[in-house]
Amino acid sequence: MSILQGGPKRLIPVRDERFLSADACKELLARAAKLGRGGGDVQMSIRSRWTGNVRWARNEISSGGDTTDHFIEITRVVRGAAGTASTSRTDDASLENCIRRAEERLRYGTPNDDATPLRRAETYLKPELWSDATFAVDAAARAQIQQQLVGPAVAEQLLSAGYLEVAAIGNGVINTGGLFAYVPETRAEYSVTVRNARATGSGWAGVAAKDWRTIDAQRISATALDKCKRSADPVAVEPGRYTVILEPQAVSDLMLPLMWSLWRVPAEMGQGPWADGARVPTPLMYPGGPPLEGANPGDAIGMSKIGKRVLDSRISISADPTDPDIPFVPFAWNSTPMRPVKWIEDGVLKELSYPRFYALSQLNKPDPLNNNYAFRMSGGTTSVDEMIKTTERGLLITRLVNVRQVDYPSLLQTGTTSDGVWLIERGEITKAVKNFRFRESPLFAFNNVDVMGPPVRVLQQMPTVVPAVRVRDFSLTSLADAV
Amino acid sequence: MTSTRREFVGRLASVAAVTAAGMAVRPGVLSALDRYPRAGDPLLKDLASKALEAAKAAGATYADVRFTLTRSEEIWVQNPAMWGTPVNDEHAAVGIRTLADGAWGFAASNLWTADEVARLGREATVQAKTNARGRKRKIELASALPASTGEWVSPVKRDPFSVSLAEKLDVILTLHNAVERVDAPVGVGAYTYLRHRRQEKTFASTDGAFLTQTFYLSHPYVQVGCSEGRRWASRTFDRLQPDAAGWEKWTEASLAKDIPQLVEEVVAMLEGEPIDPDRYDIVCDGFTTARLAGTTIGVAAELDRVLGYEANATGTSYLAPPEEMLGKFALGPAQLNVVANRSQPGALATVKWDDEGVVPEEYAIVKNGVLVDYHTTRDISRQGKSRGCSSSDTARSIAQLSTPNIAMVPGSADMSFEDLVAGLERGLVVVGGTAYPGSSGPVTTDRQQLNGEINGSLVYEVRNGKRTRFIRNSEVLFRAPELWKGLHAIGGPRSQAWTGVSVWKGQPGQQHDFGVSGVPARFNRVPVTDRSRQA
Repeated sequence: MSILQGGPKRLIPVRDERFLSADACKELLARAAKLGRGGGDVQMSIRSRWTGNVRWARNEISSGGDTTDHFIEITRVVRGAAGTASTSRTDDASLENCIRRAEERLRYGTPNDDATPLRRAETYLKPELWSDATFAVDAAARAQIQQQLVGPAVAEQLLSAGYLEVAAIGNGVINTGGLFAYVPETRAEYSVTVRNARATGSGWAGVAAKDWRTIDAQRISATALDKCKRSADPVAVEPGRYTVILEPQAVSDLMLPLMWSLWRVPAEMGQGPWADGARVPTPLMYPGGPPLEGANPGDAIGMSKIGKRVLDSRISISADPTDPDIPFVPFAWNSTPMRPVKWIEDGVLKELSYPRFYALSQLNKPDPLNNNYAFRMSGGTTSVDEMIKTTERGLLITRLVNVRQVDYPSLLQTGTTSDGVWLIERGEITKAVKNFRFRESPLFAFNNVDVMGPPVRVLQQMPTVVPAVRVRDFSLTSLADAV
Repeated sequence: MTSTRREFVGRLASVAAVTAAGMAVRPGVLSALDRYPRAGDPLLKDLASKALEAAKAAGATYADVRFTLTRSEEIWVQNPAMWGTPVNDEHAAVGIRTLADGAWGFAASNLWTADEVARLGREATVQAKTNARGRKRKIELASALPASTGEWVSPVKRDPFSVSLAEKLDVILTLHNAVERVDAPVGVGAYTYLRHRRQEKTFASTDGAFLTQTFYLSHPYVQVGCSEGRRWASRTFDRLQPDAAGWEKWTEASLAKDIPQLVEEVVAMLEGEPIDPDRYDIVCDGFTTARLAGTTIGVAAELDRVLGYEANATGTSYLAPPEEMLGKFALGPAQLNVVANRSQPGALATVKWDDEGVVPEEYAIVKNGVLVDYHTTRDISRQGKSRGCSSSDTARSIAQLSTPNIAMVPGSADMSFEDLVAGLERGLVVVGGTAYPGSSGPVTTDRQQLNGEINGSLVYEVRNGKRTRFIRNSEVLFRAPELWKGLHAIGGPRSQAWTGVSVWKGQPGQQHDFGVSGVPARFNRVPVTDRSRQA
């Protein structure tokens, strides 16, 4: 398939392509470059996405289809000022409209232009992001997979609901200064919820991957079914502090808010979890809000916790576009590179992300440190079964849902457990228990780690690999008895 | 100040000058470039029939097509040198949904050409036939529709996309300046995040419909904050709530008169004290009660959720199964009455036709405290009838059932928020504030809309009808049926407050917005905890 060599070859606008090719991106820029007014440069960031999906519920397909959607962001850079706007269309009139909107915007300037100065050349890492097998999963294949995998639920008179999505994305950055990079990417995800007819039991399992063939859909379906049966008719157990075994999905659900918080500028302004030393609050603080958007780096007079131990010393958190388990596109929307980074190493905070204007003005560096929330968390060798066997009294938790931050400086989160919680007594699962509301911080929980399992891929929006973890004194504050 | 910082501050100053110079941009400069087919354009009619014909020729028994053109803008502002426009987007899409062999198929893209829409029509039908292999029961559509054509535009006085960025920044910064100028014992500032959307949607179906509508969304969020030492506090301008308005919302709101009270509250909130976890009688303002009704009754009454169609995405509902609930389940006392509509002027789910061409009617969801109906569409219906609750975020997404506008019926007595507070012997007052765009706001629930919590923007203790102290970090916990059963008193018609709720739903996920109204209400014996405390 020619797609392997960099995507479809024909120029736009054509319609038997599923996403824009490298040549199409070049042709787009060539046309856009002629449409700018007042000199300067044009930069385009393109994300052209084809998805095919099938969705089912109550054991029957409820919808499914194929969609192509472009996101074309155009930045006009004129005499050091930048303005950005976006469109979904590739015709001249749409490009011109988008450019006019970007040009209107550039007249106002802002101090935080991450687009200037324009980058004229860049060497990016070359991760392997494409899977022919994923691209080949068409409607017929999707329907067939669904039919095969709901069978066991039907046989046991249970209700399966699920979702299978494959995607192929053309990611490009290109500008009139000579920069060009294009990376085709595939993604696949599969998730299943099995419930019983009385709505007293629910089990969930899911995973995402680059290559559809690495997803063991049969095992995921079986896990959801098994969890449904075993979680049925739960009993209420008193809320409180428990030793809990968080399955990998639950670990990622709790760790993700920590990933979102890894910002250097607020930390140096004395805000948030990574501020250290004298805290000098600015008039406004936005707990839970977009941390950078209120941040003025001119106020960066505090110290961050970089260099200090923040998590259990067995935990390292890293991101690398070329990591074969969590590969991702090696550039950000503004054409700056995504580089391998160790955020936390042996429990010590090593890096916090910063934008380009901060790199240029405060660090005298050309590049930002980007964070796209893909991450790998280190683990151990203890399986969940072994963790259960060595737990005197505790709980096994499948996943955490509706996770919401309640306190920014401590990263305290709340949310509920879902789709399977079990009581462990003397090394054995003894009963299914009702869901809880939790109030816990990844900073506390991952400092109370007992043992960890081997890291595995889970289902999050960005590629994520984490282990199962047994944590002491996990805070479950009340019952939340939804199923 | 280090030299690096001096340089940086200098750079800020020069950029601020550029900003000021840029204010001269002419408003409306972009309108001349609008070149998409507008409502009723023969080109769209032609494209629509080509799409539908292609679907029928490929074997579809029913097909519908949507074209959407969506302008979106988001602006954040702190001060003249610190602001940004993270979203300035125009999105065009066409999506075709077909029914063949009793199953749905869907295909969508960005291109509005005859060849492309015909391809999508064929493709969607192939998808439908393929998906039919995964069904035993054929999908049947309720509410067969008469052919209809028409156009409807959500009434706004000033399209936000005809207002220049300079004017928007000027209005917001003037408000911020007014906040900063208030004489207060500590520094006070403001932060604004603003979202505008205009969507033109054309719908046509093999039933003969050809309908064009234009919708608006305005979601302003203005926060007033202050800090002292390590303590901070913030409040929102509560009169700015998400709705289907244009730019007139800002110019007509007379926000300046709210500033003294907001600043007074936010400074006083610095002295807020922690709550003693216990059960309290609480009075919620109308916006908060609206959000409670929106999630625990509005969203919970989506029939697809109730039946399990959303189980693998955002969850199910505690209002299930229908045979045990409808006409039987007493959710609250007789004074609890909730209706659904898609006709309330200015509310976010208001349409003339839904995404299947159905003209929605008003209907009761809760009558005298008892659940009496669910939201339905043509494919997820009850008794062969759709309530007109189909919607899609853009044409790239398949239409799905979503919550219409939800209105809590005010009490007959002319009771106000202040009256309810005055009647509280010992309890708490919970004011929800405005939700940050894209967030769930002060009311959140679990995956069945059963258990949830309220995080008030402003919470204070009341003794004998008088405010005694501000409370920090309180969290009201509730289990929906218990909360509504504890409904003790509600406000009258003049206390009704409308806001908007955004919810995610479906796979792939879509964001749906709906309007919701509430009246101030008193709930008795509700558990309240300190959200900063762990178990």
